[in-house]
Amino acid sequence: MDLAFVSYPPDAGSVQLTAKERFEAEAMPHLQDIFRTATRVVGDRQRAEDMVQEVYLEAWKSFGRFQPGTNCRAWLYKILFHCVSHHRRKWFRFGAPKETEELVEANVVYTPAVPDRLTDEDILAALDGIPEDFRAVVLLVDVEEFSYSEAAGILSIPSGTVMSRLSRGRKLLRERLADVARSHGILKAKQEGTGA
Amino acid sequence: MSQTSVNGPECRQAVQDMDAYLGDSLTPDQTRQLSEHLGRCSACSQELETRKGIRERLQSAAHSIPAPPYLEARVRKHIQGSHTPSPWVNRLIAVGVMAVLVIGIGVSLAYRSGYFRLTTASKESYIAFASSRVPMLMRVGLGDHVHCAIFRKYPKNPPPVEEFARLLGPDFRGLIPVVEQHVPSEYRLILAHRCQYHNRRFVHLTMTNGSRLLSLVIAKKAGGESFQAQDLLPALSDSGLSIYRAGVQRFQMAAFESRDHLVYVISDLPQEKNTELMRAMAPALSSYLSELES
Repeated sequence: MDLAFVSYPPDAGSVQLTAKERFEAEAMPHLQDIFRTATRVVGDRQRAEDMVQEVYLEAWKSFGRFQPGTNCRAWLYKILFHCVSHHRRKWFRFGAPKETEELVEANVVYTPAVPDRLTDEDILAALDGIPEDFRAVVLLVDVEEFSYSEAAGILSIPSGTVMSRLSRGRKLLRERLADVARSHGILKAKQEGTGA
Repeated sequence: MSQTSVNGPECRQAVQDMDAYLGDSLTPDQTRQLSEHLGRCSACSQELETRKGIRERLQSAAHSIPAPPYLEARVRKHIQGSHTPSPWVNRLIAVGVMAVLVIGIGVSLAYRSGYFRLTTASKESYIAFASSRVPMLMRVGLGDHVHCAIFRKYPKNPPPVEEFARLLGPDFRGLIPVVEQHVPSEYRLILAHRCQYHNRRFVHLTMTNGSRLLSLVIAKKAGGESFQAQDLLPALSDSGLSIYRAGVQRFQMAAFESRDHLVYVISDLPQEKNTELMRAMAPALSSYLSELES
């Protein structure tokens, strides 16, 4: 047998994988994604690292309940947001104020486009500035490209709520981006626009 | 880059549909209508491009922060050693937990209903049953021992000796050193009081070594009671004292009498050991009571 042709993970149809091998093959590849989202949700790299460890430990403990063939990435995200919710009161740095989820754009007044001169840090700072409920949906749908129904399952909320929070979250993000641009002098006061 | 304001109903609808459009959630009809509008309206078309641009910039920015290289190894180490229960083990645990809950609730309800609790009547019935098989005067001490030392719940952490001395009162507190002197050192006093049971006054001291229970019971004689008068034969006579003994079930009794009192040592020790203990204590007890009775 030529080892050069042995692929990893082995084909589950032909080889009986151990739980560790399956976990390694199905869960571990998403660590980068989980860390990225955890960082934006908890707002701190150290906490995000701890959170990733907790997520993976929880996932490993309950891996026996994970149905092979289903969406492991979405499952890990669900665990992530469960852990976040569990820890929220303990050490969240923000009070998670609830904002109205109404999607009303009575007057269509567009906010300006995002200036190219904004850096990644500026954009992430703007994202971090929007309330957690909206940020979570924006992260899941716009950054991680989950569908509405997947995001709804991860956050345990109705799809309609995902849609309204996404719309509101995107709008808030644009407003924050405008604020950042204005603070850098990129956007002049007369160009500023606000949402509805 | 300028602010654009459009207030037509088509534009409002288009803007509302844009989020769903970006999420591929519009129906084919809605998608067609939006596409047609975008073809006619440069402001909405620009708005959609802006939204797409923000989304791309956001993705790019979020992806620019990699996980630290050590994190994967740390996660692996963290989960190493912990085990993942298989589904059937999980189910077994769940069934076990449910069974324990059901049994626990059932026992609790039964206890509340009195099924597992000894009522006063059942305690008396037990004492009467055990006593029926020993001579009449032996029943006096046995009944008090079972009532106070067996059925009564004494605290796991008994109070200090001073409290027992207070409960025994000035006449009987001197029994504590007598008992402590003769009972093996591994026994500790867990109960000492004066009590009244079946209209008779008792002084009662109970000790335990953790597995054995031992009582000294002193009962006030009533109406010329006497072991001798009941024609009981002493098991042995020592130091001028006649020591009587009896046994029923796990209880062994050894007794002697003073002028006004019946004195018992009752325990779950073997009969010989129980008798030996009484034999060792009897002279000091007799002397103590004689002084009290004079």
